[in-house]
Amino acid sequence: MVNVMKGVLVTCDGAMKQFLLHLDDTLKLGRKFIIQDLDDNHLFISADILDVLQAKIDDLMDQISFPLAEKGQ
Amino acid sequence: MKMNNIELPAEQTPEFSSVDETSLIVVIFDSNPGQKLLRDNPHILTHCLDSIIAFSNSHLMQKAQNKLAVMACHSKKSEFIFPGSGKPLDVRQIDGQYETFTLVEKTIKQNLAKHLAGESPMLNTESLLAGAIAMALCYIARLQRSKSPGCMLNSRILVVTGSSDSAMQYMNYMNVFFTAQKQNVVIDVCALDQHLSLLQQGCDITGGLYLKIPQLQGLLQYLLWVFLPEPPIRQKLVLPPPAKVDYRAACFCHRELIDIGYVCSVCLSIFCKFSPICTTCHTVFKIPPLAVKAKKKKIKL
Amino acid sequence: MADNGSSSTSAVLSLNKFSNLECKNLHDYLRTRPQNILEKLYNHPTICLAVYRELPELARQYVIRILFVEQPVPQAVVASWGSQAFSKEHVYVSKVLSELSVWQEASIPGGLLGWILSPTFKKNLKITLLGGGKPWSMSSALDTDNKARDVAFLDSYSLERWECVLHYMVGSQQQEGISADAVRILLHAGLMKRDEEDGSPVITRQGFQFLLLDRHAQVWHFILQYLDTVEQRGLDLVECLTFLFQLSFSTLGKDYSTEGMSQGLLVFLQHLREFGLVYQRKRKAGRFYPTRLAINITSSAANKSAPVLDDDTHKGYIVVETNYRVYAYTDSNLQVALISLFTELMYRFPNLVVGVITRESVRQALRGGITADQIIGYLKQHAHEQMLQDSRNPLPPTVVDQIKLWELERNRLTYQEGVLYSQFLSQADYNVLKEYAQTNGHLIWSHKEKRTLVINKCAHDDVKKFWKRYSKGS
Repeated sequence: MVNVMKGVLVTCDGAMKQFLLHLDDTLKLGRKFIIQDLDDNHLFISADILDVLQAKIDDLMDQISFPLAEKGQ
Repeated sequence: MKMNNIELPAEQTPEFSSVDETSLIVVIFDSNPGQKLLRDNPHILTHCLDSIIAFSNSHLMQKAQNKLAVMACHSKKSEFIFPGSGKPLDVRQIDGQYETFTLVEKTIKQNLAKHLAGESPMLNTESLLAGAIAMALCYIARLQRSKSPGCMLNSRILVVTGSSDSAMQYMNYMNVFFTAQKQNVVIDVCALDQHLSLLQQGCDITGGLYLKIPQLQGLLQYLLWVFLPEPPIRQKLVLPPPAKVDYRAACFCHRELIDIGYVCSVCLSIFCKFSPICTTCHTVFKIPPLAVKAKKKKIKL
Repeated sequence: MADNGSSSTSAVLSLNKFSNLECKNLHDYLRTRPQNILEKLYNHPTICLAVYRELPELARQYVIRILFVEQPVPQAVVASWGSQAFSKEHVYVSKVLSELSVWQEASIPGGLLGWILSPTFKKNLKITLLGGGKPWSMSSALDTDNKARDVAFLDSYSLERWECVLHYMVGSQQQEGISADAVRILLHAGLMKRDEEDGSPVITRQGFQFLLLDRHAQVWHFILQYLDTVEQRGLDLVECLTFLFQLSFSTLGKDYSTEGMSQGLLVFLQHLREFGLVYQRKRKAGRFYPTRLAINITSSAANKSAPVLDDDTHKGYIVVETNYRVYAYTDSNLQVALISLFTELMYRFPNLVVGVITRESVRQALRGGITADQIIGYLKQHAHEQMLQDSRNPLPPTVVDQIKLWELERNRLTYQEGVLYSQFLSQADYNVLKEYAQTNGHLIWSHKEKRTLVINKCAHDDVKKFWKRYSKGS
């Protein structure tokens, strides 16, 4: 017997993967979304969470970046 | 199927390094009627000229931004025959040849004819190749200075000659070779008739190619094979390997190539015989204590 | 759940499909033409010259080496011309030459395979180089123009015409409008689209990307789009292409005759006139001047705007500082609009605009489908002369790197829609399925110990069928 599931394969670096796992664990997106943890750089997630996830990651990027240039005087 | 944010490794043409530089070539054509080759058979001049024109146009054909200058070199003076002085000829496209190429061909032929007509016929002296190279270097330097910033220019000089190089111009040759080396100008030499050891040194110094062509008939093909590729892509092609270069210097006193000689310790002038005063920097030397002779005497005793 | 997912992602996909401007060079363009058109095109010396110039440099050397050789040259001999270290390049170059049917395979007595130049191509390239063919169509003799135009005039004329098109695209009111024909081309090219409410054309993402290209690439892209529609207009594609290439190999500042041109070509000429590729005083003047836009039009896309040595009209106006500030010395609304695509504007003076590149402003541009390379390319291309003193990197490397990093951080995750197969009963089953998916190129990920594999979604049905057949059989 074979188990078949549809979803999205995510390829990322280790740090990003940990962040995704954290989001999954703490239910930050409202529910669990990781279907299977494949290896260090790959995750299999459900497809319908994608938009929310991308927005969340954008937020994260905004939080960890600092304005480089000084505006104004 | 891929979704957004994915950089598709699209089917790309492999990125091979290619030169986006403008390539300038200054062809120096030795058209001195006094050289042996032309004295024997004057028709060779037309043959060589046709080959050189075809070669020059092939160079312009490589890239739209490529540049060309052609010089004629004689025993009394050297002259630019392309681009000629004054207004460019008004040429119209006549037989399907690219207009620029027609212009090159017409200008070169016209200016060379003018140049040859002004030459007094029986002058059997050597061609002023070193002088011509110096003029070419000046021309290149001028273009380098006037080019717009951000534009890359690689320049080279191609000497096509049938005359022999004499040690008379040794100093001039060395000066232009080292100037060229400093300016990053490559000197290529195509010898039609005789082996040219001094010019070969120049090629070696500046990283250019030297070829004594075995057959005059195939001149164009040799030019296209060996001298058309611009220096940056030469490494990708298999070209004739450099032969052993004869690095003998000419003495300053008799202009003869020598293996062993005397060198002034102050200015490095070379002499084939010992002289008490250096003719270049006027340093006075003591007559060497003839140590060898002294030794010999000892043995005899 | 899975169904929902696919619908949302397909929406994303369709968005993505439109977001990038596809820029072809001459080579790509010709490769996609049918063989018979290619053969027809090679009957014209100008096209052979254009094709020759667009070949990779090694290929150019090969062609010129066998240009005067009548018999086929053994392939092994050709291979020996390139040095060992660059053998990959040799293979690539041979492929390009075959693709464009510049050379063909031919057998040599003795059973060897050789290369020989296509006879038409060879003949016409020789004509270009040495002459001996028919004159071009536009070279009839002309008496001198008593109101001859000089290069400076032509430059300003072509610039004005072309900017007119660009201004129209950004909808600035600085200039007069453009013809309905030009608008149709812009719409056809997808650079503009009809507004859903009032039907007036508005600029698209590709339009903005188009604006960021250098002038030569813009003209070339635009002309390609125009050529796509040429046949609908009842013009002959080969005729137009030939004329275009003749134009591109004409001399700036010289006048050419329209005598003997067909009706179709005269129409084509009027279109080119509108975009500023040629100058004509009057429609029926009988003569025209090609402008800088038309000269060497084909050499644009490949070598990225290598500046011409002399009389180049390079007028850079942008200064970028290491503190991410951008100073643009311009009063053109168009240029200001372009700069503001990826910078945050701060001050505006009569001849100067000051802005700053920020993460937000660059991300805004990236979201709009503009790539980091396009931004950097634009800044480089219009860099002020002061910036060009150091010709290797005209822009501060920190700024360049940072823009690239901002682009990369958007790509830390990549997504691929797929189907996960797991819990195989035996290693053999796993191997069979993996083998099958791999040979068909559908496998995206696999893990032997976990007996898990991920297969491309579009191949799911196919793999499922295979699996059913397989499990029945065993």
